[in-house]
Amino acid sequence: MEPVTRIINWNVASWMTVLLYGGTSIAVGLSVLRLASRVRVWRAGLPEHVRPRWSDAMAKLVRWTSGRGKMAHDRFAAVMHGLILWGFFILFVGTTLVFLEEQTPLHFFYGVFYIVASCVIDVGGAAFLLGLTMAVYRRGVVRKPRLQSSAMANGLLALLIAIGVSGFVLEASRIAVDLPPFERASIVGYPLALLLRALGLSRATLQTLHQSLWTGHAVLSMALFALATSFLFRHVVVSALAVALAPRRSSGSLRPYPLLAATTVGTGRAVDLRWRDLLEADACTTCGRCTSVCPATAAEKALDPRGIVLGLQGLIDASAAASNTVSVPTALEKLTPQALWDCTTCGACNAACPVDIQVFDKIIDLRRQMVDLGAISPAARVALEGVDTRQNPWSHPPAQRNSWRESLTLPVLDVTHGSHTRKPEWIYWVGCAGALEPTAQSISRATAALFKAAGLDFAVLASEGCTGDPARRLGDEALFQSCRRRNQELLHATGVRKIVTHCPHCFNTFKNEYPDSDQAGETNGSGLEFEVVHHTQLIKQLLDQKKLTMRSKHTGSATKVTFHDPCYLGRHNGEYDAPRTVLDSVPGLVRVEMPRHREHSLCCGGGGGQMWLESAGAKRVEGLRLLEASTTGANVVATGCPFCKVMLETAGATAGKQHEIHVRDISEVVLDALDVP
Amino acid sequence: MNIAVCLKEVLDTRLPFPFPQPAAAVRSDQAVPIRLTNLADRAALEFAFHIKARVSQVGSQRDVNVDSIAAVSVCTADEEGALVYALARGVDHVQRIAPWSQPTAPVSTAMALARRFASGEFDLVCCGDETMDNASAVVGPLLAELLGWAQVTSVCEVRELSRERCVLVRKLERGHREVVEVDMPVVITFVADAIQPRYVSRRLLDRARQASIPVLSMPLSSPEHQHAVAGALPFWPSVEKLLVPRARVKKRFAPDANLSAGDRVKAIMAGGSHTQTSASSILEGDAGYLVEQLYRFLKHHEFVQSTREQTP
Repeated sequence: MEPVTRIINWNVASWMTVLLYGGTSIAVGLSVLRLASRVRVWRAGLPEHVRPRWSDAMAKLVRWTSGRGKMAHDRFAAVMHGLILWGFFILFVGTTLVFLEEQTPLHFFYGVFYIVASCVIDVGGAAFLLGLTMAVYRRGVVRKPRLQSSAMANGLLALLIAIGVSGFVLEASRIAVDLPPFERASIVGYPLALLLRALGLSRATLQTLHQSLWTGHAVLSMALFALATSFLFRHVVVSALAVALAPRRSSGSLRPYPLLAATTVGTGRAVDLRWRDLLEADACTTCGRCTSVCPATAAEKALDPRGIVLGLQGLIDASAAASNTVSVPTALEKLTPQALWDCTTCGACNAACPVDIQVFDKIIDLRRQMVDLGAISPAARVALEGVDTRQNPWSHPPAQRNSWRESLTLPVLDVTHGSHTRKPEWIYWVGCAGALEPTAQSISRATAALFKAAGLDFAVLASEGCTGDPARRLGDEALFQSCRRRNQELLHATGVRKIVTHCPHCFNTFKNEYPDSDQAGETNGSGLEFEVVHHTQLIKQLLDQKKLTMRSKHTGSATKVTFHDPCYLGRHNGEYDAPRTVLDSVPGLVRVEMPRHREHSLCCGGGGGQMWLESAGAKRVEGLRLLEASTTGANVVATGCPFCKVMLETAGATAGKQHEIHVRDISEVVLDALDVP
Repeated sequence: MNIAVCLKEVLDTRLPFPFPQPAAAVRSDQAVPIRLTNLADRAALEFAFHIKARVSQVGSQRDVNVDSIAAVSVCTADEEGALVYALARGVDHVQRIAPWSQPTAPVSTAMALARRFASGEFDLVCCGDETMDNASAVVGPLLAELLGWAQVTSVCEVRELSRERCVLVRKLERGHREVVEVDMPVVITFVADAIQPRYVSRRLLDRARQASIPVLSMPLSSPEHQHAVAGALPFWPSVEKLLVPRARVKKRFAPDANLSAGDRVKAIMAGGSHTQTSASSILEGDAGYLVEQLYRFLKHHEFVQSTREQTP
């Protein structure tokens, strides 16, 4: 009876096998050396403030490889990458089994195992080629604008296809010589072998074909091994690391600045960046999802998130190749400074990246270095100096801070002079915009009126200062820390443990950045341990408790309203439902959604310090968002952020639509519909 | 070449400064004055760095090299903020000169600085044109006079600089400029808006605060000190009379918002609004008369209820 197995390296001269293993070893060695040079650059980077946990890393890796990560946001890409990854993995394991069978005393490649292995390997190969065909379709036929087509990328794709195809024809030419019946398990190879036989190829021709294909396949495979850590192939290895080591923290919480206590100033060299940022730059797949969702890119500004990451990748290329890193151009020299200042820190890029690259973390770190070098715009300087000396980025006189409540009778907590008699349950944190920006002062007044109407036990502080959010996002970390310390002392002095704010930026700062939480979200004891809620959450709670009641009847036609998700409430803090629930409870309102909403919402253009910077793009982000809102036919754009209100209202006035579409905060909408006895 | 920059920490006089009143509670956020490095001095410091950067580029041709920039301030230990700022900005040396008397006056400041610079260590002294809290603008010229150096005021641009001479642009009134050439050494005073000073991050300021600032005390036997102790003029001029200009109606340069865009552009091009939509007037008189007129105005515009008509 014919044994159910095959002769490994059949029809191949022994010297060719030696060349194969020798060449493969050299190719792998080259790849390892190249990767080692990258690792050397990563290791030269600054330390991360949190250490990765291996259990977390493994869990994330399993989730990612099983297609449950952010890759699945684009289903076609997810299926394509899944087929290529798992197909390649099966082929790699199959090749390893063949190697073990030949080169070790182990003998298992026969009988049922052989049949099952042959079948599985063919399925893997077919999946691999199907995935590659999908990639060709996407790059060549669909031509997604975000995908950068380059000769190198196309060449690498062709190499993979050539390996897959040559592997199958190689197998078919081997099977076709004798056509053993058990080889029917090779579900692709066997039919191909029948095809070769049908072409009338002789045994000698098949053997020659087999030998040629073996040589070609071996050379291509060696090329693949040699390039495994280069160009686009690098992401296969490094992106897995990036996903596994991605931080587990709120996306709204910026990392501390590692150079804060250093005596040197960062200048954008590889050694001035964190090792994880360098690793992530190498993990970039250049898929362009970050760029496709970036509001600044949409507004034709200088910022291209993928360009930032690839710029850092170029820095690693240069640093890895250079013996003297001093001569390497720095990131601040390679990147356009304006691109770094165009970021709104909306987090859309981070949310979209399939390999968990934290793009705006890198932008903020580079901003910090530019701030230390003093290389910032006059507008940014004025905002930062305003936070420093006048406790608000608008540089309004501090004495004006309470002007918003001059006509109101509100309980005021003055801890500095101890003028308060009773400790309230809640502190209403008004924030700089709500206190000083005329467009946003109406939000403060409406919110305070709602709280009074609900009988909430609250007070406003007599002496608020900036939370430091603009300072941190504009890159002055030490200034943020000073604001943080001042406010912590102030809030501790009040003895109140509940804070409500209508500003998502203040909300995010109190919730995520003041507690000084570590990776696990545990406070280290030095931070602020308060319950912090956004006013939309508290208003929803008050409505649920019937402490606020709406007018039962609505006269007149219904008003169409659309809700704009503030980035620091939605994407960074996951609150999408409370504002919508509140709006839905207002009689006479019909809520419609914009095309981009909830997790996919478009920024208003005011975050990341943009409120105080000059807009350098051909378009304005707020204009794009207002245009999107107007396509819904809504008369009112409701939002839950003073910055969003200011930006969108400005966009309305600029477009001459201020009478067609009104921008209102949720508190104002609710106050109008309130049933006041 | 060594450059010295004279700095001063001043009150931010752009903000209203509330004076404590016995009858009213003054909150901390209103009562704490905001102090900062005088804006014109910041411009002078920035120019010193620009000169250093520029000279380092062309220095080999002109045989000039800026060896160091030193910052000097005549102030008390509580007013060292300007020197901290200078350190954070990157000067090579700082020095505080303890004043002979308190409060410091422009004349005594100039004399203290002149004593410091008399050694001939510096080739160029940069000062702010005037301080925000005093605006006498005499320290620079007086310092030059005491040193016997050349002096140029209201400088907004440095065109050329060599070991022997420098070419400067002065900012005159109504947009005029004057290019002057002067021999070295020289005292230059810079206008505040001539240059955008580089931002100094809080991190660098915090680090600079940890540095110890050397203090130079002037000898007690000096005639200046004797004068100061005796309270003799001219160290601290006394104010004898304040002459307040007559109030004038401001010319309206902003066009009426109700006009069309075209008309608004026309109005701006014409140098002011071509329609007068509201009448403005300046009231003068005693307090009783002013209160009465103000009340009538508020009542006319319905800011006050008519039921409370009797007593304004």
